Amino acid sequence: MSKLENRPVLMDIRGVKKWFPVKRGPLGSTKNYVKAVDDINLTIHQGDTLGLVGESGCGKSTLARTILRLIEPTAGEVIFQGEDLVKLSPAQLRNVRRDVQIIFQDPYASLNPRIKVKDILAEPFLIHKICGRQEALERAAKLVNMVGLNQDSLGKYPHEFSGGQRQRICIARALAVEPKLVVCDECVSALDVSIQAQIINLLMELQRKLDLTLVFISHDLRVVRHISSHVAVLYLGKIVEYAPKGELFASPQHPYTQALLSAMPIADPDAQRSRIHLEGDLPSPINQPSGCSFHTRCPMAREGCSVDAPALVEITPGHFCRCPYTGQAAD
Amino acid sequence: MSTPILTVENLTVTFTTKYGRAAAVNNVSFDLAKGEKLGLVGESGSGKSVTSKSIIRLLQSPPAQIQGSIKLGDVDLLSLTEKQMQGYRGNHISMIFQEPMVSLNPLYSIGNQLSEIIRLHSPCPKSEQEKRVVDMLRTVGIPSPETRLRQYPFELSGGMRQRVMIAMALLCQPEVLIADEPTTALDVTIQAQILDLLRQLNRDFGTSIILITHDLGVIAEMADKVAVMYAGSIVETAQVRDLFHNPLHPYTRGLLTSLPSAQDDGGKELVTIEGNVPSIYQLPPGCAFHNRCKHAQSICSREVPPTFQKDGRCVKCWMYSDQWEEEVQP
Repeated sequence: MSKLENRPVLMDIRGVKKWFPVKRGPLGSTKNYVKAVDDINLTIHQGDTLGLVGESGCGKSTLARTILRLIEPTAGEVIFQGEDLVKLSPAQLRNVRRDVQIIFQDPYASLNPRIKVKDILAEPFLIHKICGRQEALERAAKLVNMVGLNQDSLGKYPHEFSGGQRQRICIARALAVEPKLVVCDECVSALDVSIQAQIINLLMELQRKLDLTLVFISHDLRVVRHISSHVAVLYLGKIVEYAPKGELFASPQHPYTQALLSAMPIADPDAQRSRIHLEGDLPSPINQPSGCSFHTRCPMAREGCSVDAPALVEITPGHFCRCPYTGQAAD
Repeated sequence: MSTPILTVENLTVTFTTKYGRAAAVNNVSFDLAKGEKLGLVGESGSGKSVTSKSIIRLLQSPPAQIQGSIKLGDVDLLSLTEKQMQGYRGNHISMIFQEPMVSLNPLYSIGNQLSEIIRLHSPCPKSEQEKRVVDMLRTVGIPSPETRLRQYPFELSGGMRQRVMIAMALLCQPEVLIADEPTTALDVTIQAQILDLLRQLNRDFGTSIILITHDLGVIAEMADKVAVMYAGSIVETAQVRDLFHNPLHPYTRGLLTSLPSAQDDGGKELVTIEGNVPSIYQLPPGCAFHNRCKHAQSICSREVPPTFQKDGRCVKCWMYSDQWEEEVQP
């Protein structure tokens, strides 16, 4: 993993917060906040694949959208190639969007049903004024080849494709403008297993060919393990653990990561399972527990946990964990 | 295992729509023994849910045309009138659904919805109704059931709602529980809780379970016996160990290898099954899998394979016929 660390930093996320106001008071005054993303710091190196994992409501998607400024962050900086995306004007932002693209979860909802595939794929070139319509269509034809669809798909409408094929179109559209960073927000979750494997292979192959940097969001730990180089585990809007992939899966330190990994179903009837049981449900992000936000479900919780909020500490080089009792928690 | 309590034979369900006639389920047969956990796996559109809904007779017919026989003990469920069927649903056979958010009525309290089951199926005094409901909620692991009774579905989390659904399905202690993707909408840590609960109920009450899922990991943990479905047919039936260690059908093999394994560190490319699942309106002739199959020969595109027996397992593939060898070695 040390090789990757030497690569240049592509994106630096510093103290990013997104608090959604909840209007509860009289006269619609803001009484409370949903802290969907709360003080996240992450560094993404060129060529990395950062996996973001966590249960629903932990802020994975909000974080992804915030760093692309599809949602305005409440606070923090997103430094991309030396520029702070948060401070850019809309016109400047449009230029940067050429370099930062996103692939969404639902390929049925993210393609315009009224226009043909060739127009869907030509649109990015026209929006970014890269070339004229004629050339854009030619480039669109190359793109469908790249993602493994045949040429007659160009004249078809999205409804004529299956889920996996639509996701290929979404990938082609995201890669049209030759971005440097692509955010994949649960982009294989809606697909069947056999199709999912095709799309994962395609993404990894394109990443190698085009030297892409990926932010890969998924709740499926097996997929994240396969594709990522680094993994950040989120719980209630905070990073609880961040490490290179191999290390995180081999020796998870935070009790939440340990529980999450042990809950992963294993496709082997003879596998040894030592499951850590988490009691209860994810607390409401509006009234977060005091102290460590995980203490209400933590099997190792002690008295101090409900009082002091632990900080994210580097326990071994490159491995960060938000639990003061990490050494003991592994027992 | 002992004599089966549920036997499905040659079940075929067809729909006539404006796009043409489609067999969502095609000649499906399996049986379920007492206390057995049968896993039904397949990708979307393979007919898993239509199979389960025909068993509990929740398919509107017409438009669905159901043929074959579904026997619960000695009774053919397909021959019952709707009124008679109501006596079987809940009492002998129950179902839980994928979406715990939409399967509960938002306008009635949890307690009301649960005691309705008792009122309909085995009427008894109100005080006893409440006692049975509270006991059941405690059995499925809902803390402080007395207060939960007065709550409405929106006040419960997804995992809790699925527990309520399970409580509802088991109130009259049916012999068969059909769980249609019971954990797909839930997070992994909650999924682990619900699967544990289902296992425990299966052990304690001896309820037979048909578990429908697309997740092979869940199957490996839960099922005793597995039936793999593809494009409306069962292509392979086997005990869970045999299936995972020695899959026979090329589709099952493909499914198992396309899954990133728990030890996978991304070094290798995933093995994929080329192509897409065919539409049930335009099934290819012969074996429905032949145009995605690496081993396909001319016979596969001509004739639908019958179900072959091999080492006590069932597999629907020409590879296991006697003719196959001849074609391979000309």
